[in-house]
Amino acid sequence: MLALAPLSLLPGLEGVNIMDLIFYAIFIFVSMAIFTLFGQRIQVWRLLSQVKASVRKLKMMRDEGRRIAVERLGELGGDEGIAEKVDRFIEHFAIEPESMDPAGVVWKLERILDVREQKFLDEVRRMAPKASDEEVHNLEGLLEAALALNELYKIVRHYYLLGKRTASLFIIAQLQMLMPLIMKMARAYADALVAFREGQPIGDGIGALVAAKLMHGKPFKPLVRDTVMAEVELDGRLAYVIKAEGPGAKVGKPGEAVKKLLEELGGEVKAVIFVDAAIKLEGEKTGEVVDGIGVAIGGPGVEKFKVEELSLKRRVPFYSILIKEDVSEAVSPMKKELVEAADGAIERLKELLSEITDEGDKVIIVGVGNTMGIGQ
Amino acid sequence: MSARARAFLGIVLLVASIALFAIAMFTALSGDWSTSMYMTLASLVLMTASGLLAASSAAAAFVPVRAFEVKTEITCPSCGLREVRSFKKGDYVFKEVGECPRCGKGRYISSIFREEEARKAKPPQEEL
Repeated sequence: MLALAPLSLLPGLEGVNIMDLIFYAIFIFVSMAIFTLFGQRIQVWRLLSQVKASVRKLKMMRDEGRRIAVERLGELGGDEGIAEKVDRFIEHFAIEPESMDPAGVVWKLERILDVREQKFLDEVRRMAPKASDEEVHNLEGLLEAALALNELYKIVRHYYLLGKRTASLFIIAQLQMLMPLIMKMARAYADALVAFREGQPIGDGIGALVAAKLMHGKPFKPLVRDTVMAEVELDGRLAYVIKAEGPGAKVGKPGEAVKKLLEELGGEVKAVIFVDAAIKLEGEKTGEVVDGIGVAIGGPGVEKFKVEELSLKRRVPFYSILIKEDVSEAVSPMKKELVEAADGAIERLKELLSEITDEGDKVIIVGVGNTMGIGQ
Repeated sequence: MSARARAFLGIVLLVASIALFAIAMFTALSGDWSTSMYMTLASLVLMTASGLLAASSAAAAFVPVRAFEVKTEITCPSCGLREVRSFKKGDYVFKEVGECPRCGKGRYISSIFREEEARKAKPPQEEL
């Protein structure tokens, strides 16, 4: 100790306690050793704890989705074992067709999607025998949302556990960076649960709402499965307005409907106009109405493919009117700005008709989207 | 402990840790290094506790499924009378909902929309 005494005579260290100096030195060396040897482990631990908090939230959303589904099915005649049936339902998955030889893959995918939908509807009818046809479609939407939440939870949990087991900073860091986007998606599905339980119109139904406003009060007839059509006079043009048959949660077959009409009417149709919701970019306003060229039909692409094929064969131009909305607004109850935007879209539609057609022309107008809570 | 109580306690601890750190700096400047060091360490402990409480209060306040206030607007096409009420199960756009109390003609549901949840006023977003 005496040997260190002269240290306190160094400039700037006059009067400093030797024990304090030793303590500071040890503190600095230990800190350096900890951060050098265990820095990455500390980072992994921090990232894991953040991901764990998100996994917990996803689990809460998944459990709540399951609970809401069980409760609603119980109200509509679900029996004692309904919870087990819901558990089995939300584990469902569809296997995509092989695309090594892509020719004809669209029709295979359509077949798989049709069988999936039919199976889901049949299963819902068995689970809720007292449900009306509209309620069966709403329940199917509710169960689809619960299924999506279950899938998100399981995928995130898989990568969380994998990262934890391997202590791989790269797996965990990627997952942690993606978590805000995954949570946003999960929030959208969670918001959809109550809308589907109650049968309220959702943001995705804006295209169907525009079509419903056009065809309201006019006689309509079924055209293809779950899809209706009405002939509407619009500023001297004859418009064939198509939408999914409401008010149940249906999207119909807009592609199939356009194909059928074009085949029936031949070359008389001057234009096909699609009205649909489009996902907005950050910074864009909800309810903004924009024009587009091409087929605005979302989903797996089967319906879009059918119409695009006709574009070459029939030489009919395809136009789109899109209403911007956020992904979370697309599946949650429709916002007031979107309801107001429907009138703006109709105005734009009329302007577009005056620009691209003449009086007496025939056009097809398709309101694309989920028509839950929207009649005609 | 409720999420609000946890958040409040977290803020109290954060203020205490900042105050302790300021005192530690003042003590260091006045030459008492040892006391300053211990006070800085205590301040760090308080700050960590505050951070943990804030994180737990955020987790406790998490709502898995939000229910929005949804409104139904009923319109009379004859006299234009409008009525807005809370959404009821079975409502849908263009559903006929009985006679108008003013003119006695048929009314229908003209729109169903969600009311935005009350939020604190935010400064306008910067135009980029």
